[in-house]
Amino acid sequence: MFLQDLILTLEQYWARLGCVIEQPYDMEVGAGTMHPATFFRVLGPRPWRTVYVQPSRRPADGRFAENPYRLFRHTQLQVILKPSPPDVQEIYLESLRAIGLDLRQHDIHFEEDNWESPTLGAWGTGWQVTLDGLEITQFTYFQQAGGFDLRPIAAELTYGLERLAMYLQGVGNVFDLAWNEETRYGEISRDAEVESCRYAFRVAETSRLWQLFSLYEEEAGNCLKEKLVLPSYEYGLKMSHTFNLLDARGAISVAQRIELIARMREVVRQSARLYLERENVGPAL
Amino acid sequence: MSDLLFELGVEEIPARFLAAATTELAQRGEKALEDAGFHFSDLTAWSTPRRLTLFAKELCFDESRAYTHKKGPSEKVAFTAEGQPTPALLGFLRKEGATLQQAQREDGYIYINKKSEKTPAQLLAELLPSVMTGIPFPKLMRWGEGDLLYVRPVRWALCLYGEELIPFSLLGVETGVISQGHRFFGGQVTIGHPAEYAGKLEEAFVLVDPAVRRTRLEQESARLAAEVGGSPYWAEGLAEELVHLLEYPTAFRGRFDSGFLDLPPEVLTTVMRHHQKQVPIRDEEGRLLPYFLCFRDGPPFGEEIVVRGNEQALQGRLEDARLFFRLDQAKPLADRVADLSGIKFHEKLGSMAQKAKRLEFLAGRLAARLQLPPEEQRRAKRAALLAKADLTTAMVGELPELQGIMGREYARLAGEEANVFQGIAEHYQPRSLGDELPATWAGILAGLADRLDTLAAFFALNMEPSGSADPFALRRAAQGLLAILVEKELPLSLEELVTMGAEAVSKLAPLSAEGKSRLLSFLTGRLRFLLEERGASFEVISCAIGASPLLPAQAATKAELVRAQLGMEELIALALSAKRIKNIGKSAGPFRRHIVELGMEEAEAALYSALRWAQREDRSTPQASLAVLLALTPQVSQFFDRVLVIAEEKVRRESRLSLLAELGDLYGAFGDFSALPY
Repeated sequence: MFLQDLILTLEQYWARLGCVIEQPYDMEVGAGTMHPATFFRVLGPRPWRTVYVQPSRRPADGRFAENPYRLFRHTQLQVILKPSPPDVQEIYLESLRAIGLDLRQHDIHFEEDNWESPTLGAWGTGWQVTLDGLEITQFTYFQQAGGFDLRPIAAELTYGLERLAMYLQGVGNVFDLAWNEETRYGEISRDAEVESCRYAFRVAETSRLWQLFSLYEEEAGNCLKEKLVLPSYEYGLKMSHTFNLLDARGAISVAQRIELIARMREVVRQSARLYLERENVGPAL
Repeated sequence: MSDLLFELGVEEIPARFLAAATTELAQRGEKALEDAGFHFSDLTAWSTPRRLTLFAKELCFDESRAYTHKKGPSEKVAFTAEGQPTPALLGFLRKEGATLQQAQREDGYIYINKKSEKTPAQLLAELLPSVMTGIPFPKLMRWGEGDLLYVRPVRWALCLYGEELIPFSLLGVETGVISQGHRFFGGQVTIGHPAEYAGKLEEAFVLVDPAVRRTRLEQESARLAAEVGGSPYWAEGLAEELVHLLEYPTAFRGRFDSGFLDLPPEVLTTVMRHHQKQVPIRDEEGRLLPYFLCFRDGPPFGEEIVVRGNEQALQGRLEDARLFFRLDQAKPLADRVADLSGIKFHEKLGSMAQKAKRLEFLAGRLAARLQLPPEEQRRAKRAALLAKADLTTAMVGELPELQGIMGREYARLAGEEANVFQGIAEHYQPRSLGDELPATWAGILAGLADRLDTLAAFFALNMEPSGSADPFALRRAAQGLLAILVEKELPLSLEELVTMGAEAVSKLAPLSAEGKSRLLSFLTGRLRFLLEERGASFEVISCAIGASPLLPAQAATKAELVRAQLGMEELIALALSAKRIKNIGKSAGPFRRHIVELGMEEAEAALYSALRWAQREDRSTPQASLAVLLALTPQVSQFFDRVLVIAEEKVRRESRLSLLAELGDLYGAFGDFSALPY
């Protein structure tokens, strides 16, 4: 199955179950969870179902396109079902059948894996789902986001698309993945991988990144003063990406890490608080 | 008399919770049933990742327990002079749900005697829900609308008493007679009678008894490993985890490129076990073979596919590891000590590079103090300096479980001496209670230095464990430190160790006199715990740690010696005299003047010369010391029996007190005998 067919099949599958097909967020994020379609929509009482692809940047995982599994930017497919339905595991498994897996011929486990993002003030319980020993999905019941307890509870399903596609195609190197009939993954992303790594590991000017971190924080504060939910949150995302770049350079000590995370969480928490105030009185953003 | 079956269907429960939850379920079930008046011939709890099951064999209800016999107010209080029921009586009846007709007079009091209207089935429906809901899981969660709280979302419940459905609801589901078989091979399973439960589920590819799954898992693993001339190389807890991860375990054998066997074996085993839940296979000599065991849930379907997937997943991780192994060697371990400056030990405690320097200093001090040969002193310092350097390697960054192990490998490859690279790996030992201890001096001293430094540094910042909170694992550090001192019989006192630790961290975080004494009493407390683990009683420990300075190795020996003497006449006499000296000592200072010339009473003179003898005797070991003290007891007892200590004559009084003070010192050099329970 081509990578793009995998995306199309999963999106169609979830769309049939009432999921809005959102578009990838147009900013650097480390995971699909940071997309406002997840982070904000899991807050408050409104039901919500969505599916979207989210390219996600993890600078520290970058390997100059030399490692067959590790990527600076990988691709997640994210599903949110709020509230989580009673048959959520079954419909998830059905999505694996939809992409052609005979579940009696394969082995599927749900192994405990509790997800947590200190930056987002978020955590959940759940599993990593393994397919023949390979982790293919993170399955989480969100318990808290932005520091707020959640009710109802959303189920978040995050598929690692490259891994899944590599397995389906029997390919040992991510850059050899067939995107479609003619195009390989490497043709699309290899150069970007190498350049992004060169930037993150060698070129990035850490003193400037430190400044940027603080500037973004100030601008987030500016937005919060005006009660702007999304803009303040977006500056929080910029802080997060800047943090990740600094981290890839090894520029953050253990002590600083705690402090920086606390600063990001504060921005995100304030945005979530503003959103909830609005959610309780009027239409969502 | 029928069997009782109660099953709760849950989405995959974390494997690490299941063993304790199953035990808890059996205990709770037993108690709840017995408290309500049920008897049974046998009670079992089973579990799989997707269910918790309680099974009671031949359950019956004790009819006599259906009667309530309850004492109420006295007749005088219960009825008015006119023979009308008082509010007190009516209140009592209302509380017991009884009528006036059920009230009877007996011995001047009102009793009610009534038979419960409830059937055994109703009683079961009332008591069973909390048996499941009350199981204490370490972590709970919400799902769906978020109104319920349990370890994972609850999906079905089944409850049968004989062939009868016991209807009740719990955690959002209603009980029925339908269970679920294996996710992909089972489907729904209707249970007609409790006795057929395990068998019917086995047909649906669910082995409800964890012990049965374990046998299947281990037998299959052994068979598959034997086919390639090896045996499964299990790790602590891995079989247990797999048992609680699979409803119907089936083992397959996979293989990997034997080129990966060039990697340190711990890298391979860590990747397989921790990251892939696979089991390595080793030959009779303990060498790894290029095979592994992987497991599927369900019958042996799709072997080729499942094995290929597992091989790919393993290969991916091993390739990563091989890359790290190569990259890491580009920089010798010794050069990495400077890189440790990029890693904080703790926010307020400087970098790991500084810590490495302190470890070198402390290991050197300890080695000198123990008068080790110069080459051992040098190796200890070297191992201590390099002990943490592997934290900067990519391999440890990726597989933190390998800290120490990678240090050893990279030190070996960089040409360090054997004792040095062994010491690097060993300095983390013991990692837990009962773990192996370091074998080389380098490992012993680097390990002591590491723990001592950590303890002194955090105590200097007043960041000590309190209650159950011990975020820096200081208790474990102290435990390791003491285990080494005791097991390796090192003649080091806690007092001198605290002083050395304080010296090491002095520039960073000065440890005040008060901090030192808190650290000393913390270590003393942990020593108590260690001796307790070795079976000594509270009093024996108090005696054994009563000496100052306190040498843990000696304290352990003393505890054993005293324990062996418990109940013996001499020890009792010793303890009693120690108590008397302690009591007298409270009211008098030590006078050091003797009155030989004045002439002593016979018993007094006898003690005097016995003391002189004892002071000359060899008391360098706890054994010798105790033997001398025990030998003194006849003279001591006679003295107390026959001599008036608080004599009227001041000179005599002072002389006798001084004699006792000397005796007290002699006792105190061993321990505090007054703490013994006599």
